[in-house]
Parts: sequence; structure tokens; C-alpha cells
Amino acid sequence: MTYRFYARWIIGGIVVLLIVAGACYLWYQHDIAPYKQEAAEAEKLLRQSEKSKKVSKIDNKAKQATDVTAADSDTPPAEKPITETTSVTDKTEPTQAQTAASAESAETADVPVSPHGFGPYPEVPADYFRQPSWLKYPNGVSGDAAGPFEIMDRVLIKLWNQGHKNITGASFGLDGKVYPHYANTAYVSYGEKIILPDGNVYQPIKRIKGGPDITPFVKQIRNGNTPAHIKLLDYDSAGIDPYTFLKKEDQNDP
Amino acid sequence: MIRNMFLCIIVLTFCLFAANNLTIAINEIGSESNADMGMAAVVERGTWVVLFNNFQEFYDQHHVEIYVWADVQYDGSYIGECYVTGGDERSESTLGGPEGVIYYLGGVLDGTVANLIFRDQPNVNVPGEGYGWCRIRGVTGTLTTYRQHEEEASAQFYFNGDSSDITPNCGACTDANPDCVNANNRHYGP
Repeated sequence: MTYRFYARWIIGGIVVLLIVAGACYLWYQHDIAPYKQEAAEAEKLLRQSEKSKKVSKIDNKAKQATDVTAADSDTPPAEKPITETTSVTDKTEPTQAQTAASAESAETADVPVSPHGFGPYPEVPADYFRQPSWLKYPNGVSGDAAGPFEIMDRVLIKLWNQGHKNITGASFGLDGKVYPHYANTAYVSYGEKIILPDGNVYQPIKRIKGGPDITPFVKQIRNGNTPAHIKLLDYDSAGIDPYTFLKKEDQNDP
Repeated sequence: MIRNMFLCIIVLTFCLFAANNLTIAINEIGSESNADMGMAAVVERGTWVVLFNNFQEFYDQHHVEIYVWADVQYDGSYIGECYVTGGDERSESTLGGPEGVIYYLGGVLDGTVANLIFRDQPNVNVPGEGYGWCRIRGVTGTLTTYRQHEEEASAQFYFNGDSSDITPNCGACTDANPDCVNANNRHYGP
């Protein structure tokens, strides 16, 4: 009788433990599902990257083999790379152009090329403040982030080379503009001006954006008591169009 | 003895379930996510009246702020939206939005505000509501390591009786008289 009583409880306990274990397993599967999906996307991206690298190598070999018409042709490439290299001018003699094109192709054959169609990666300055995304994430990143990361790093590298050494990062959003994050600097956008009955004007700040270093000062900035060392930039006009900026000749300000 | 042990196990199991559910519930309704991993999403109800003169006259204001933050180790993306309503009016603001996310490198701080100031009539409370939601994702890594993290926060607010925190008849709203209004109120005056 006693044995039966305990056996019932033992079986009951085992059943409860099994239920708990099952619930934990289901919860675990549910919890890691998004990460699994992201890993699958990253793998897909990596495969695409490898494929495009192969294609670019084949293209380079093909370029070397083609005749002078490739160098003289006015037809633009299907996808314009964002590079700062100069092209061969029309005034060059055909034989020289052929030689130059062949030499250039031979040089770029070993240069790593962007899988996003932006051309060869720029040279990274020795004192650049971070590892660019294509070196930091050699296996790619989840989702569609790799392209935007690369665009931002390209813009930041050019700014760095222009002497803007107080860069801490960047953001890139819906308006297609890159917002470099400078130390102690915030982008600010104001809301609608409100004229109060006593004549005073109240204009609330609608948006504040910058590097993480401005975090402690957000409330002060919002309340109109911006600390002296914090510089405010106009959010609506200070963004950089990366495609225009990267094609422009070097100059001091973006 | 064994019976007591099993009873304890069962009770503990249910306690653990209850604690787990409680934690999830707090995360769902809370306005600030965990910042331990160097990343946070925040939804706040901000200032809720605008005083416009020395006589404690005010305009009612509904105000929701959302912020995302990631420290320098992270690169990633974020998205968020917030709105407030009152009467027939509605105001909304987004970080990213349905058209796409915003990407960042080397950490970020980004915040936006949805607010309404009801200027038709002073000293009137306008009932309404507000909502905020935001999410930030980040990755960090080297050639050999790769780590990703995500924070999300949302909160719902109801605006009613906003002016109850104003100190009645306390005199001029000046810096010399800082106790005149509640610390959360934005006073607008000399």
C-alpha cells in the first residue's frame, strides 16, 4: 500500500518533470528562432559575397583579354563603382590606353572588391579609429546591414583622410544620408514654433542624434541648457549624401 | 518524506514558472530595457504642461519620448515610433519606420518626441493617450568572435488630470522660486 502510494507520487513527479523539460525545450526553440533565422541570412549573404568575388575575378580576367574597344568605349558600366581613382582619358593613344587598361586590370585583380558593387575597398588609414566593417565582419552580418555599414565606413574614411579626426561613428537612414558622429556633437531637429500669449516663442526639440558620448547631456539639450562643450548641428541640413561625397574631389569640408 | 520532497518540487516548479512569467510581464509593460549589455531602448512620458506666464497659467501638453542607445562597441540598426493623442488631435514621430531601419556604426544615441500642446484654451486638461515603441540591434566582433544583442521597450500612457501637479497660487515661476511647480513640469516664464 505504502509502495503504491510512493510509486504514484514518483510517477507523478517524473511526469511533471517531463512536462517542465518539454516546456523549457519549446520555450528555448521559440527564443532562439530569430537568431537561427539571422544566422541563415548571414550564411546566405556570405555565399552571395563569395559568388560576387568569383564573378569579379572572372570579369577582371576577361577585361585583360579584351581589346582596345573596352578602353575607348563610352558606355558606362552597369553598376557604377564608388571609387576615387582616375580613369583613362580619351586623349590617350589607343595603344597606351590598351596598356594602361591592362595594367590597371592586372593591379585590381588582386585588390579586394566590394560585393555590393562599390568597387575596390579604399585604403584604410593606419590611425583610423575603427576596423572597417568589411574587415571587422569578414563573414558578413545578418540582414541587409553589410551594404550600409560599408557605405558609412567609406564616408568616414574619406572624412578621416580630410582631417576630421574627432569621428566616433555614423548613422545612415531613410533619407539616404550619412550622419557622421563627431565627439561632443549632436544633430538636432526642432519642432513647430509656438508663440505663447505673452509673446515668448517655444520651440521644442523634436529629435536628438549623435554618438553615445552625448547620452548624459540629452536632457540638458532638450531643455535648452546645452553644455558649452556640446556642439549642435542642424539635423535637416548636416547629413552627407554618400554617393555625391565619395565621387567629389578631395576638399576640406563635406 | 519523499512525498514532501515531491510536493516541494511541484511547488518550486510552479513558483519558477510564476517568477518567469512575472519577469516577462515587467519587460513587456516597462518603459526601459536592460542596459547591462551596453545597449538600451527607452520610452518615456516627458513634461506634461507648459506654463506660459507668472500666474501659473498653463497649456496642457501630451508628450512621449523614445530613445535608443548603444555604446561604441556595437554596429547595428534600430527602429521606433511614438504617438500622442488628445481631443481630435494626434501627433506622431518615428525613428526609421515602415520605410526601413536606420543603421549605425560605433554606437549611437537617437531620440525623438511626439507631443501636442493644446493652445486653444489655457488651464484645461485634455484627456488623451500616448504610446511608444523602439528596438535596437547590435553586433560586435573581430575576425574570431561575433556577438549580437537586441533591446526593445514599449509603453502606453494615459493623459488625464495633468495639471494636478502644479502648485496652486505659489507665485511667480522663477529660478528663485524653484518649488513653484513640480520638477517634472516645464515652466515657461522669466
